[in-house]
Amino acid sequence: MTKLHRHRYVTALLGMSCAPAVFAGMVTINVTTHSGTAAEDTVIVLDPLDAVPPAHRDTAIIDQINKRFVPRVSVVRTGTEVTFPNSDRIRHQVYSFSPAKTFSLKLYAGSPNTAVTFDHPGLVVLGCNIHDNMLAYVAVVDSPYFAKTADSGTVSMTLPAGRYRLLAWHPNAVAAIAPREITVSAAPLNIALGIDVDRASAAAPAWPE
Amino acid sequence: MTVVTYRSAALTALLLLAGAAAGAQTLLYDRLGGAAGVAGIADTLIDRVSADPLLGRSFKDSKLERIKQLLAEQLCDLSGGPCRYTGDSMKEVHAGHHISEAEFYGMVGELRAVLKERHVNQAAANELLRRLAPMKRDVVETGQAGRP
Repeated sequence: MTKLHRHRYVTALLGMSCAPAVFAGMVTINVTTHSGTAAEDTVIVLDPLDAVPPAHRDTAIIDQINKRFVPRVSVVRTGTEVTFPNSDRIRHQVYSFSPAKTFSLKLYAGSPNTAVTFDHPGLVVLGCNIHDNMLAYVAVVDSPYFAKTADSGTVSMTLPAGRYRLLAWHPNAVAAIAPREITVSAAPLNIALGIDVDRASAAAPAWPE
Repeated sequence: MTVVTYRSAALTALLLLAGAAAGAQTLLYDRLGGAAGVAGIADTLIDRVSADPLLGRSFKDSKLERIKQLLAEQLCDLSGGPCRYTGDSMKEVHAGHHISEAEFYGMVGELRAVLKERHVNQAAANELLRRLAPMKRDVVETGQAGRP
């Protein structure tokens, strides 16, 4: 048993001792484009409909590397403090005009990292004042159950049983992906999502509400 | 009547003298063509250097419109025009780009050519270059030659 497994086992036991009725189920979501290719970096959020998870302070990093944001797509919980290091030797000026978080940050090479707290849910689009083509997305979500699909277009999440609203978003999706309601139980759940993607388009779809 | 005429002539002469004096003190900004002049210089210069095989390197992936706008503002400020440069310091702007002396003088050469094409007279061109010259120490990366 690896350390990680043991930790999960203990957490599960503790969870059971506190709330014996709660059990976990696994949801696997596979996102493909309509042309049949895997849609990596799709943001998946499962909004619990039966319980309100406790607030949690988290941190994340969005780096500047070779005039690109890394990662290009982030999902963070509301209240997360995101640090913006600058791994380039030139300066950047990160900005967002998005209503969920409007800010501007001057990043000089070798200067201390600056953090921004994303305190409202919604989609935040980041750009750089100085460089064309620097574009990144931060999905700020209230739910603690979120992930991004891997290169295979797939993601698996283990979460408490109950009803959830499944939200999916991809930066190059042609249209917003309609949310749907799912029920998590002990039986594994497999969901296939098909989306239309235009990788040449710079206009990201709206965040599903 | 005669008195009035004489007085008016004297006044005209005085005004002409004042005008000549003002002409000699015309702002460098006006001699560069004012707002349209500095904007035109910035536009053409940035278009040329960004497309140049040697000089274009440090402009790659950059928002040229923004550079043009800030350069026009800087030229306006530097030449005594009604602007205040709002961009970063020359040191911050060029940090990490490893600008060589050859690149610096390459840009000076392009600027001279642009000023000439725009019929900015030699004295005004020299005056502008004189005001820009001190920036070299913040633009060019020195002491890097020979380093691995």
